[in-house]
Amino acid sequence: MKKGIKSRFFSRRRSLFTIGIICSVIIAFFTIIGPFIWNADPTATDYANQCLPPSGEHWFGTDNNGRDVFTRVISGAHLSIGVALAVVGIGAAIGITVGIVAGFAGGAVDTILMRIVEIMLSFPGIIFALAVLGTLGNGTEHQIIALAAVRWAHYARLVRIETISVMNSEYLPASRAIGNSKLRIVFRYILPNIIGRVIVIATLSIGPVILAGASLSYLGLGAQIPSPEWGLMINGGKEYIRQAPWITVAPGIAAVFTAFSFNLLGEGIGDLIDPRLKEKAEVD
Amino acid sequence: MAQFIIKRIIYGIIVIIGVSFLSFIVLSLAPGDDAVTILTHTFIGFDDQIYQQDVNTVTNLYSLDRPLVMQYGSWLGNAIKGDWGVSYVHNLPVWQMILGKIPYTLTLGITAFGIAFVISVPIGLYVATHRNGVVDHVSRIITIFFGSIPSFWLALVLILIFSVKLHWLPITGMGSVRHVILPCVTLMVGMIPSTLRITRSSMSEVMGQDYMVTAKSKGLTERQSVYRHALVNTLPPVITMAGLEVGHILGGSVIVETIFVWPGIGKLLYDSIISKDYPMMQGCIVTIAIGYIVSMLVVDIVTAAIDPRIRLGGGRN
Amino acid sequence: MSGEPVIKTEDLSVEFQVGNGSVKALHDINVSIYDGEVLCLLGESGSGKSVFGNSILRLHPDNALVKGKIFFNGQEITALSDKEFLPLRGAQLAWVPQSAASSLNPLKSIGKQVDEVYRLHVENDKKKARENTIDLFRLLGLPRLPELADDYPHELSGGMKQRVLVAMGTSAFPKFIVVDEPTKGLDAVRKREVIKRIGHMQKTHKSTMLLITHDVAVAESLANDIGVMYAGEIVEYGSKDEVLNSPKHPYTRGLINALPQNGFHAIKGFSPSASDMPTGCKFNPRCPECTQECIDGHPKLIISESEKHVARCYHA
Repeated sequence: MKKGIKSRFFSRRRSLFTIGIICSVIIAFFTIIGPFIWNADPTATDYANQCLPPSGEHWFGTDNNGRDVFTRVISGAHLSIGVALAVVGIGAAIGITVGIVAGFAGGAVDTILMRIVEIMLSFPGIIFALAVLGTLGNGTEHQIIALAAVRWAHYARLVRIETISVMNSEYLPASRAIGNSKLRIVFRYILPNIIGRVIVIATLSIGPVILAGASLSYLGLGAQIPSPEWGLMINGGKEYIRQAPWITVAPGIAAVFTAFSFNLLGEGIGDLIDPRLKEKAEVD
Repeated sequence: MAQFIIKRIIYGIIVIIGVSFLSFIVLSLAPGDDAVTILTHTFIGFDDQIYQQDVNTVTNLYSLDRPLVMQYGSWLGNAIKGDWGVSYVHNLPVWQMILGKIPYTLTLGITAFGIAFVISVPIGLYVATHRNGVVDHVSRIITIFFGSIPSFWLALVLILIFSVKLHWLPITGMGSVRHVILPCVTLMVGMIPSTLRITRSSMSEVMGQDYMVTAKSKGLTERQSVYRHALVNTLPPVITMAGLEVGHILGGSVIVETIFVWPGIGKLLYDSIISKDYPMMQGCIVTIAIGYIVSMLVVDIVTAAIDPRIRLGGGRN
Repeated sequence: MSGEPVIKTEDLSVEFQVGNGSVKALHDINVSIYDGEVLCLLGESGSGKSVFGNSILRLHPDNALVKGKIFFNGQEITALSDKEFLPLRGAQLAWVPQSAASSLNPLKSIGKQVDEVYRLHVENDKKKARENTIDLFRLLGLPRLPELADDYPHELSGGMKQRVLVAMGTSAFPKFIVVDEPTKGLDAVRKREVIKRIGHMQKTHKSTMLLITHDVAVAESLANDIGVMYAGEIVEYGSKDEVLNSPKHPYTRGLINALPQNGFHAIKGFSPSASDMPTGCKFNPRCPECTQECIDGHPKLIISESEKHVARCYHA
């Protein structure tokens, strides 16, 4: 029995998935349950206890305003993961729509949409996000818009290819012949075909989006003081890196652990669904 | 071949114009009055009273009241002639300022790029020929881990360890090889995962091809068949990835240059965003786009030189 | 049929390790191929005929386990280490792969790929190698010589690529060549051309050849002897005329009846998969003459000097 469990969850093909799931559960625990257990106000200042090193009372020490770094890291998880999920969700929704429209319409519509996708994909995403934020100004909502504006193109290209291959397949005329509408074809044939790949790409992009969001906030183009956003915390801590390095190090470790977990999960799902698929997704 | 290159150049120019148009429009949508920005930066102090007549003068001077498309048209016309506008903040020609920053970004980028490739390509080739071995699994985990480290944080941690604690390397600035090490390592960590993976997947795909069995049947040793038949077929995807890495360098330079106070294009772009210096932002974005397109062009030409299917087009039959 | 056979196998079997189990792809093959003769292995895909060819040149992937013995000119080559075997491959024992479309390196000119074999085994001389290559191309009837040698694989048709591969296999004048499915994927006209050229080449060079095909017509035009393969075993063996004109095994009769000129009478059912073999005679589920004996026992096949035309069938 013991061996059975081992081979079921830790075979070569599944090991990354299993580790990814375990890490994700840990993150979910801290993110969802955490704020109820460690329910101190992450923005409450305490100038009597500035820059205290990690101890039993303050696991990750305190920052330059005397705030508990651990509490802030926990509540920052909420923000970072929330932003990432929103970005991936919006990006996927736009991308899938554009991909299906381009694949269905063909002709000039397809050409124009795909040129835009190519330009988006062939340009460093962070620069584009910076330009958008430079225009819209700071703020978490603007950050979500900026990042989603970069992400959608990945999905659009994939979905368009899949749509065209379904359009060219033999069962489509048959399906049209028995009276299925275009919309019905989308839901019955195209979406089920692409869902596996979309999930792999979406999971694999959560980690990078978390990091990109933190980078933007670090640069001062996202969450604003006194939000416990990880990038912002790191930015705030860097002035005190000599006296109190934990202010900088702790939120970074949280970001690395979170991104690493989602990356493992994405890789693991890729291994499970189709080993070849994952290598394609990597190229994206 | 010449026709192929001309086609790629024309396509590249279209993309650059597309990017410049897109960024021009996005930047024009910015809230706040450009005229006021210019006025406060260039002509008067931040704390001075703003008079409507001054705003109107600036609006006329910079033709800010025309429709967007016309403004873009005149920007493009001037840009082609080499006039990229004047920085609101520095009151210097954008083009001149950018030109001065390019060597710094290139120095950092090329060093990081070169070292990252020298490290990751041989490892990628090794793990592709030893799939599912210990090195393969370990390198996969490490690449996933490297891909999970935000570069700005890595930069700070490197500074903490090597500059603050150990006093081995300087924190910021430039001038010696020791100044290059930390920013270079930060950029490399972002590049190694994708390069290693594409090398591995390309090489393992090649190793499974029928022509590798043919090579074996000829009586070539394992080593000979890898050197003569596998490596050259592994190259095209790796070179394409190298082109994409140039994009990573240009994008990553914003963060790395800002943290290490390295006076390149990335730092210039960041400063222009913070100070809302729109002509400078536009100039930096277009420069980055041009850098990117040129690298993709080089990739296309090198790939065509390697692969006769691209160079010669379809079959004659 | 004189003297020592060039290739002789004794109880040659091949298994592939798949997951935790293994799949037997080839069972106890005992054949001899004599100097200047062509043995044709005839069978459907999956019958093990290519596995047999690959065993002789050790071209199997790492998960293959080869048992039994192979002799080349009387020397037991299965006893050689990989290092000792290497000088034979390409020089004495050559191989012409199937799937011509993917068996050539797409990034090297065909001339260079053929030259390579000559330079490796005969003489490392660029010019002589190219002359030899052009001679072979001419013998195989390739057009546009000598410029064709600088073409890349994607510029050639399937039939031309197939002939390039034949040239590659013969360019170091090997004693023995395995030609694997030379007509796979070719249309009728190109097929005839390739068969004609291979036959011409074989007679000119007096090559000893193992020809692997699923096509009765190919076997008919090139073979001296034919071994019919089914589910990893030889089920009938004999000279070409004996096997094709008076087949003994029901499967061979089925193959011949399935030919277009005989009215397309396909054999009912499908070949069994290696993981799900019937007991007794492996052909019994599809055999029209199947009796209880065929389900209980596994008929033997013994090829001897005195009785060369034999079949693995109780009713033969």
